[in-house]
Amino acid sequence: MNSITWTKSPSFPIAALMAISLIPGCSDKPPMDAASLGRVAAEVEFVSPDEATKILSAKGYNETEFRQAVEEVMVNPDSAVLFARAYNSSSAR
Amino acid sequence: MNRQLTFFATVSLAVLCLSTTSAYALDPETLAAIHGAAAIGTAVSMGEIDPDVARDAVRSMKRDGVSNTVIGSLFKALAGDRTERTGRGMGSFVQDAHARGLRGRALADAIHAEQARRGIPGQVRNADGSIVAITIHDDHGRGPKDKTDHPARGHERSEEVRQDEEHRGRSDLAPRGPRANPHSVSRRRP
Repeated sequence: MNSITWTKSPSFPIAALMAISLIPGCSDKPPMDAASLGRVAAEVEFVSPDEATKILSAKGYNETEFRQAVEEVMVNPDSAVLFARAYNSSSAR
Repeated sequence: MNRQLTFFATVSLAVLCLSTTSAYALDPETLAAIHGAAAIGTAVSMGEIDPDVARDAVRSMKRDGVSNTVIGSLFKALAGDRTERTGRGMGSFVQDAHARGLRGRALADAIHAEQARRGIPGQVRNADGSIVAITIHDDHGRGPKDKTDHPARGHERSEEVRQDEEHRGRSDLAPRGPRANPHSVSRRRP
């Protein structure tokens, strides 16, 4: 069976979707809202590197993705207010 | 034998240095983004800066490649307006500078120049005078070891300020406690 006939098979779209879902970053993870980001930021700030990685990956992020999400918050004052409220209250505990 | 001992001692020393200097797990730029976002949110919620001005200022600075550390320190001065005698009125200064058309790195440099004029310490500059970073810890480079040894300890807001915030109903938005604003500039009054 050559590749052209395989792509015409009925199982091809299903297999393709499954493959895409396995690629990190293409998974269907819901993005964290600003308040959740603030809570997680307070949580990972002072833990060990391993613990921080574990916490972030449990939320579906690596550090770069997390930083990008926080940088998005920086340019959105409404989100930043929610982030600050969650971060400050979580930090004060 | 002596060589082995020297090697072992060197490796042990290196491991010890690494374990004591890396108090934070995250990359400095990630930390700066966290503290910057918290400072921006606090400054906006305290009414120190108009949200639209804040949005435009941060976007233009990011566009010009201004680091998270510098952006964060800039907004921390605004968020600290109620405790920093030197920082009072910085929000108005930023809004005036923005109204005069300053954007991006030029805006950041103008704000930091004003902070320096007011005696807010800790700026590190390039040879050309542009801002490299703000030294934020007041701990002579020791860095925090854990939650109980944080450089911001002792920088809590004064009773007068806390009462003022409670009166305004905004105390939930203000940074507080030892971990609230770890990158804040020195709280010492002149």
